[in-house]
Amino acid sequence: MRKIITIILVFTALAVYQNVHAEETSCQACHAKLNGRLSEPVTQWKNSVHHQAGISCTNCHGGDPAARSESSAHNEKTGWIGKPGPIKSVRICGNCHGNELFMKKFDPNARTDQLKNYLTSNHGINIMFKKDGKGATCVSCHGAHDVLKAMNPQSHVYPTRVVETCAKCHADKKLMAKYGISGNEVSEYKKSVHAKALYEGHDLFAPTCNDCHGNHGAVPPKAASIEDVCGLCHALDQKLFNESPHKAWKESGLRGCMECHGNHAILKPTDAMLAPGKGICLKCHETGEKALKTMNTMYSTLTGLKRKMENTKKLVDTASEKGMPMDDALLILQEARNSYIKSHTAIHKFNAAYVQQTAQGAFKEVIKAQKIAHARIAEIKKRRAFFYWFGAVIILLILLLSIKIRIMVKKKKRLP
Amino acid sequence: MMKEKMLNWVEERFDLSAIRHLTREKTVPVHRYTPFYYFGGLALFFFVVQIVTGILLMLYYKPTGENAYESIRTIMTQVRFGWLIRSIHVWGTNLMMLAVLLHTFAKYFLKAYRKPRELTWISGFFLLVLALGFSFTGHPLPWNEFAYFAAKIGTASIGSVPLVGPWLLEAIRGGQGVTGNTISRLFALHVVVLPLVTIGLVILHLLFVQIQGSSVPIKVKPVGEIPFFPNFFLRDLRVWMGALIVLVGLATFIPAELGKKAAQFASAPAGLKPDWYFLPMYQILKWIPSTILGISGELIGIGLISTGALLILVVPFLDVKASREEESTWFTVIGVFVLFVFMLAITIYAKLY
Amino acid sequence: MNASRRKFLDGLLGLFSLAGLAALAYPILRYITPIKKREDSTLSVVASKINVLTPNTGKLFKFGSKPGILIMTPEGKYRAFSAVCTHLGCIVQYSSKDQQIWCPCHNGWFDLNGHVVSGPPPRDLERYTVFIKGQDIIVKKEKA
Repeated sequence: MRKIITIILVFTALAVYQNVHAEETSCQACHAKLNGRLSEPVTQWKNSVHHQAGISCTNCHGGDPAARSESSAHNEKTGWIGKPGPIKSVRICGNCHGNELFMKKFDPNARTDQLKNYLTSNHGINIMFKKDGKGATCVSCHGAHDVLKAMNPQSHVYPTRVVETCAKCHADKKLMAKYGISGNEVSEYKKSVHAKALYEGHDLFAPTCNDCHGNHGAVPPKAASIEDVCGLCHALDQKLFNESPHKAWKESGLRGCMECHGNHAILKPTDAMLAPGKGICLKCHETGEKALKTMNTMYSTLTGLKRKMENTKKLVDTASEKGMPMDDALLILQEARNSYIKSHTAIHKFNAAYVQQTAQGAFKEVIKAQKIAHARIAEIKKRRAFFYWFGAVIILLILLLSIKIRIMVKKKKRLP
Repeated sequence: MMKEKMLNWVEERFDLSAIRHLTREKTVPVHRYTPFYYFGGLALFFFVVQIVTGILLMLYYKPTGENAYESIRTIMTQVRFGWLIRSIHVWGTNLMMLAVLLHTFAKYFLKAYRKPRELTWISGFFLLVLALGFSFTGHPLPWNEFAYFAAKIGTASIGSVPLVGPWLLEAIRGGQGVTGNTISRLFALHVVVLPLVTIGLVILHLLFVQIQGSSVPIKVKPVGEIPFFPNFFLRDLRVWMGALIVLVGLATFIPAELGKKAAQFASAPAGLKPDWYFLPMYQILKWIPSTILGISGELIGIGLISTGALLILVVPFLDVKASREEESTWFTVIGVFVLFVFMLAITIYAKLY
Repeated sequence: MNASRRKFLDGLLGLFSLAGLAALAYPILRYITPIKKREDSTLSVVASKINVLTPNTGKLFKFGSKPGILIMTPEGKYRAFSAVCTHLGCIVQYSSKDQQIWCPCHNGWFDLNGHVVSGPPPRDLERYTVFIKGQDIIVKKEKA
């Protein structure tokens, strides 16, 4: 049975493949001459990955590419379908992109699970099952004719462009209201540290919409999975969090990382989040609880470390400005910065002793750098002291010499 | 009496009359411009400082692309007093240029170049050029970012000299680009060729002064004269000690920087400008458009600068009046406006903008 | 009286001249004395002694003003890389369990050739040349 299926699949694949290699067709010849939206697809398609792969108009739209007249080309008997509707278009894309044997011809690593994933997503459910015609289909994100590989900078789903692509619908508050979505997500995301890394830092690996929500199986990460999603990059934080008193957050109906950091507008965390009297812990914990004591200790440890680092940096800069080479101290400070970051990660265990212990490493390094800076500044003082003594001796010499010169002049005057 | 015996022993074998003349009979005229006589000695003092600190730097410096920067780093961070020696050498360049320029201006305004001292002026002119040459060849040696671009831009203008330019450019760079080969060549020029030529020329320059005595400005009657040795020499010594304090003080309070190691493909750091004594030339080259009537602007700039230098060189022959001991007001006016005011203004302008 | 005063002045002058000369000679003599320390260099550096690392371990070392990481592969070969993560500049570490280099800041992974395996780092780690000279493991940067 399996053999038969394989044979059938191979044959269908071969059949499609043969169709694919067509020369300049009458579709292009006619449509290129038309205006506006009837000719645009030709140029768009010519720049697309489908053109490169030899996928032509008829592979999606049907019809007869060898026909000489419009009516014979656009004949439903030759399978012409015109502009496919949303459901049809998803099926057309899926025909090839869900076919392992076909896709592997172009890329041995090509994925073919997109359609399967799509059918599990809210987009897919709305289109394919609820048939409301409003959800996103393949072409909503990838484009209909100008389809490019995801990592092509011109592609609609390239990291720096994908947010705008999602925003086409998701920033539309009226449309989103129907689905119980606020429509603020995109503008909130743009305030986040992730957006900053993406747009200002040009970091293509900074998370965009699809890195947390998935791309084809776009579903909101439910509370159950949010921590794992964040943990993909913030692995240490996740590990510590699971060792913390908060590890039972699911049972208590909380939303993990999101409770403190938010979801779309994830700002750069600051020490102020732990500030006594106004820290974020106060959202749940009440005054007098042990948790707040932990918060205060963590706060004073981290801010103390920060102050110490800033002061040391200033000291190193001072020595550097006065002409001392400070490479070694700067290296130690860089290492201390690493420990500084680690001690911030350590917060997620919500154990004051652990944070103090981690910060200790950074403290040790900072003190090392501080010692070097102090030694260099002492060296500057020594150098200057040497100069003052030297200068004093020479000035005295100059004075004595002046007296001698004066005596010589007097002697000379007396002689003749 | 031991001293006399020894002197007699030498005298029987060598004629010491020249030295005796210097110590006993050489005098310096006294008039209101006498302080102007100090600048030459000051320049000489700084030159000696440069030789001494230069020899010391050579003990640790390694003139190759791989090691030049690291060896300077070693000098600055590990060798005891290395920072002082290098900082003095760097500051010494600036102070020596200042002394040489003041000496030149002083001699120009006092018309010390007039007959019979034309040759003294000419040898002095070449010493000025050599001083610039020292800076030009020495600056790239630490091989830091700034040094690298100084070498690159500095040598590039040599390439526009007609006919021999391209060859000369490659000869100095040791290839098409500025590389480790360039260091070797500039180093050889800086520590062997230029010092040999300069020391020879300094001796000649001093010999002229020795034979002809100090020049007295036109229509100035000296009120008397003092023996060069020891009276004037002690005064010189006093000035030198003052200069030494300034030099060591600058080196202590504003030590020379190490900068970043040169990287061949890095882009030039912003605000890159040559040393202050090259600023007039730099600014003139910058002002001239890239082409004038089909001739390259750089070539015209170099032509202009060379013409100016040539005019300064032949001033003793142009200023006929002065050689007749008549006051040549025109030359003083040109000197004030072109040499002094213009140069100063252009230097300040280039420094600020 | 006058003569003795002059003699005193000459004596003082001589004394201070000696002091001045000594102040000049001292730094020069100290300068000439060769330094004992190994010359520091940003092109090559002694990363470790041999017999410090065992197979499948790694250690950090100072390379000029930047950290480097020296690794002994499970096969007992030495490899060295820049320890500065190409993502946000954190210092990477060797994970013996995974036999890979790991950056703890955003979970970036590099293989034993310094190539990015997963996570946000945009570029591979810079690789250095390693050779053994006597008791020292020397790490060298290719020409700057």
